[in-house]
Amino acid sequence: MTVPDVHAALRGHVHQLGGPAAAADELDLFGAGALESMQLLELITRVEDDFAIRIDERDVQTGRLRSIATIATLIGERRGRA
Amino acid sequence: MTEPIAWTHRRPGVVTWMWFSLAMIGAGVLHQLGMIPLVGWAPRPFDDDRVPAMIALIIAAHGAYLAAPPAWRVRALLGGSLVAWAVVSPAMLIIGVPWVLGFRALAWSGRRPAWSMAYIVGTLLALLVLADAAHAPRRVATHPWLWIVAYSFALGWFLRALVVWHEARIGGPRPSVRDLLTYFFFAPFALVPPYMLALPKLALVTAGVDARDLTVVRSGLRWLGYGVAVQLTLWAATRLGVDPQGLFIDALRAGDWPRAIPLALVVYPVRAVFEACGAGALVLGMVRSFGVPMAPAFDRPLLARDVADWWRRYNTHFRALLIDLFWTPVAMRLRRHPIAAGYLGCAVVFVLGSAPLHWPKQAALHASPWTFPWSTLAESAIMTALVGTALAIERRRGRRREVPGPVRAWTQRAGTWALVCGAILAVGYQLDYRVRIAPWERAAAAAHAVESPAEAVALVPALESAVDERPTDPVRRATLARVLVTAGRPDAAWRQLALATAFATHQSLADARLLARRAPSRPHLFPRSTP
Repeated sequence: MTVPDVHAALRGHVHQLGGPAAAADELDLFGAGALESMQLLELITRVEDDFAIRIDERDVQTGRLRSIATIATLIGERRGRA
Repeated sequence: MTEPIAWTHRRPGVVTWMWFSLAMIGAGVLHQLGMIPLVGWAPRPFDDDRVPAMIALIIAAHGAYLAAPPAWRVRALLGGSLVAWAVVSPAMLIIGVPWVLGFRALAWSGRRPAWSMAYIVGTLLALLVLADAAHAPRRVATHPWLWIVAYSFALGWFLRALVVWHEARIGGPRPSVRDLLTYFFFAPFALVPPYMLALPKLALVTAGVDARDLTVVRSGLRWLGYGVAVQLTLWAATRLGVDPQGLFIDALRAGDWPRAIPLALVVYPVRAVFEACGAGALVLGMVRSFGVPMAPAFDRPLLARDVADWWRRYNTHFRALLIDLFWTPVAMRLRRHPIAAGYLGCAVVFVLGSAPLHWPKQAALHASPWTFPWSTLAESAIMTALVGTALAIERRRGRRREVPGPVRAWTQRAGTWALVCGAILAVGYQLDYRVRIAPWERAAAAAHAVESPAEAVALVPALESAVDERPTDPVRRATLARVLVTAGRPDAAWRQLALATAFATHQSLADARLLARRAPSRPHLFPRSTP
């Protein structure tokens, strides 16, 4: 899966969970109110299932799920490590 | 066209500082006149006579901060802050500086976070036990600085220490000693204990103070003005006899439910939310005046259209702390079971998080660490059910909602108020009234009517219990003293009277104003039997 594909897939999930249809890569999903805590949990399970990676509490606490760009970077790192 | 005045043109900060000085002096005068409380969410339990000096020092610190070159901004603020704290409580300064150094050494030492958490909680417990006026009233009355330090730590430092602890736990960079001291001794918090109203991240304070963005500084002036205006409006309404909270308590006292229920629906939006927003705006204004771009603690909560929305708008700093400390760890473990995650996460946030974190305020305010805020616990249990259900509904329905018409939107808002008011007032206020206020009222009324020594002897345990509940309340101790005289125990009576005098001196001005403000609708606070 290419980087643009990852971004597109994430954008689709964000939209399905109630966020904007074409969220900008750098948009702060939570600061902008696009997603809330329950949608975050749903997004995490979807990312874990789609990309076969594991996301832990520290990733959430350190803001690595703040935007599509940061999530894509996290996915890239975890898949690269795998 | 008018030419700008040369010196203000060269130094735009000077005009800002002058406005800040005017705002602070105005707020201070209004506070001294008893029209607005410069105390955040908790009245100071000690004399207000240092408030003018504190305001002068905060103004001086602000001037030094604005005038200092970039490399000296933080130093200027820290210097001013330390002087302000030296005036408020030299003991807090002497104890606080090594405490901060120890906390920094421990939190970033690589040891398990439990050690630094034990350091924070252990300090809180030790201070509150040392300042326990129920079991060691003589110690507290003789050494009032113990109570001031416990109060300052519990209401000013404790929650912010948890914020910093969390940052260290998730691997945040080790701050410099200067930055950490500035964070804890931040000058405005010497005047207004931030408690839950201002829990900024350490990095936000450091970066904001350093950057000194004049746009942020000037926005602080607007927030200060807004906070003063809201507080003044409440004062004026109370003076005009519009005091739904007082009327509500009167209705509760009389058991008059047909009157209590509609009043309950008015109290929360009119009184509690506006009072909270006013106090929050004042704190926010002072913080932003020092360049810290902190967000408001209340994001127009009365506009919430459902309970989940209300929870996201109300007391947002405390909410963020609860999310970091309690929600995220639980919800992440249960993320494959979202409904369970929602309810259990809420239970942990409200019952294990919010309720116990209300206890330090209760304990420090009355120097009584052995009383737990049961009413808050009951409210928390109700809020668990309400917010958990709201989150489950929101998850099923989806985040996107159509924009309703004005009638529907206001109907939803009114429904949210009713739901939240119902939960908080029907459970919390009533329980608080029954547990804390009613037993004292009954005992005070009986004390007024007591005639024989036998009646007095029988009444003493109830009054002693009421004193233990509020051990620094001079009215309760004086009432007990009067009954002890009738019971034939003059030595014990004299001891209680001496303690009443000591505690009355410590809290004379702040409490007298607070009581005077509410006295018309709360006559029980001044029972006629008071000597």
